Amino acid sequence: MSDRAPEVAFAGVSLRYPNGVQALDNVTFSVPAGSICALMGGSGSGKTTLLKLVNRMERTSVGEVCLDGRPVESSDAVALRRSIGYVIQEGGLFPHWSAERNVGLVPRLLGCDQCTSDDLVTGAMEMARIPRAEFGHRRPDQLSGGQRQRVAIARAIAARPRLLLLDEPFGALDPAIRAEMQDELRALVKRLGCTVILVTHDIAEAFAVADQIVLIDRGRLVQIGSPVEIALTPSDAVAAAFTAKQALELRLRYLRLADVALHLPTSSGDGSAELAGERTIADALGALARISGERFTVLHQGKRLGPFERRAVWDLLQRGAA
Amino acid sequence: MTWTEFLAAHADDLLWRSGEHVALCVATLAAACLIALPLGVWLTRLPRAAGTVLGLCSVIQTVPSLALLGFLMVLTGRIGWVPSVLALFLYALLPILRNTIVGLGTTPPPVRQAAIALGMTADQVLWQVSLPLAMPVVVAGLRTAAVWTIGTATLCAFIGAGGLGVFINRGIETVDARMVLLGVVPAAALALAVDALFAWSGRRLTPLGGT
Repeated sequence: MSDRAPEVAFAGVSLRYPNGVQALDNVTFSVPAGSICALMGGSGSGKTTLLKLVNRMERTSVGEVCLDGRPVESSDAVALRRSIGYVIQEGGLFPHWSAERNVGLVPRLLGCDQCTSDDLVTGAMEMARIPRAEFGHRRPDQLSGGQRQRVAIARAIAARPRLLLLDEPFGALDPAIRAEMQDELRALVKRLGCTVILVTHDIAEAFAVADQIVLIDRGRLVQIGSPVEIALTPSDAVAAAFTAKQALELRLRYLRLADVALHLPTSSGDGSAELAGERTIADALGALARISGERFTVLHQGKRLGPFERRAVWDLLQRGAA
Repeated sequence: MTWTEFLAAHADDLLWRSGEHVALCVATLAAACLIALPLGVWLTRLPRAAGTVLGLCSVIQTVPSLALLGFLMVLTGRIGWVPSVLALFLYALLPILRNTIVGLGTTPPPVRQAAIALGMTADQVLWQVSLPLAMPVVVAGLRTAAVWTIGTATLCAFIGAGGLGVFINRGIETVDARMVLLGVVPAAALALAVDALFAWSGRRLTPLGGT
């Protein structure tokens, strides 16, 4: 793999197991280089299978998966896997190894000398906020669930891969720690500049972390879009069902004013109040309640969007929500 | 003759027969380890064949020891070490083989999956992950095999392989309880000592017990 984050493309991917089960059915989409993509679906939807196609833990029956246009099947499986970071739900840490030995796995497999490997381990543990000095010598059973996942993340990023595959990395954590880890993860991978594919069954996690969400149901791609598109313009009833239960919460917490502004009808007249586009809807609601007059404009990247009717925001929040 | 006089009179013989007994057991266990450990590792990749081989070993276990010794004596046309080591070896196979296969099968699936996903080869997964994690179970198998072998080896005296069974044999023939005990007590002590040794090394080799 090159030094830059790769684009991952799934082209007409189908997978049928020998027992006749169709795990994936003609799935086509691509993950832009350097972006975070969440594969979202219920259990048995095929999201983990899709992830495993990327590092050749599974093989397609039809179609191919390409990294920067190069089919993964043309790479040596072991070399490919060493170039890709991987985290699974239970962490999959080796219980008989210390945290630092776990983190140093891939650098060692790649044949890094002791010194380089040491630096990589210290750096990765620092980035995953599990300092080596304090936690390096502990074995996984001497760490909490959250700390173990930090070690698993440090292990995945130790050799500085340009692609990260995360299979429900926070599934086993309690909600407070999960939210904290989601924020950190997003900041971390943006800093590293990796392409990330994240499997999750938690729509809120997808909204919190991803640039792009892929909805999968029974092996088929239902919709692909940004969080705002998934929330506000579901492609059909199946797509709408993914967000229905938490529709209001998702829109309030994860959508920003600038995102939704594109979906608001502009009104005539002047907007006297200006609101920053970076604000979440929940954050903006208070300000909207206090403005004088019925209209407002949104400031986003130096541009003024609008004016919009204040009412339009309430209408948008209610649209399609259960 | 007091116990002390009895022991003094048989000290040289006891030492010699103990040596024979230990040699018989060591040869058997070495052969069993050399065959059963690699076979067990290999069979984990062939689950169906593993079932057949384990079944076969279980059948061997059901044959009474004395009958197996007699049968092998006839089959090989020899007495002494050859049929004895062969019989003990066949008995020792099952616990070592079974525990190796079971132990290697206990690697937690997420650990195995992570190992492969991060780019370990099949051999690296085996040597660095599965085997160390299986060690306590494998050692427990060796322990069982060792204790069985030491006990059963006393029977080998019946087909001329020597060892501590010679005293038991002689004691039975002359209806001398002291002579029987001269074979039984050291054999039992040896079994207990070896059992303790394996228990200790099992703890040492338990990957979660040390750093």
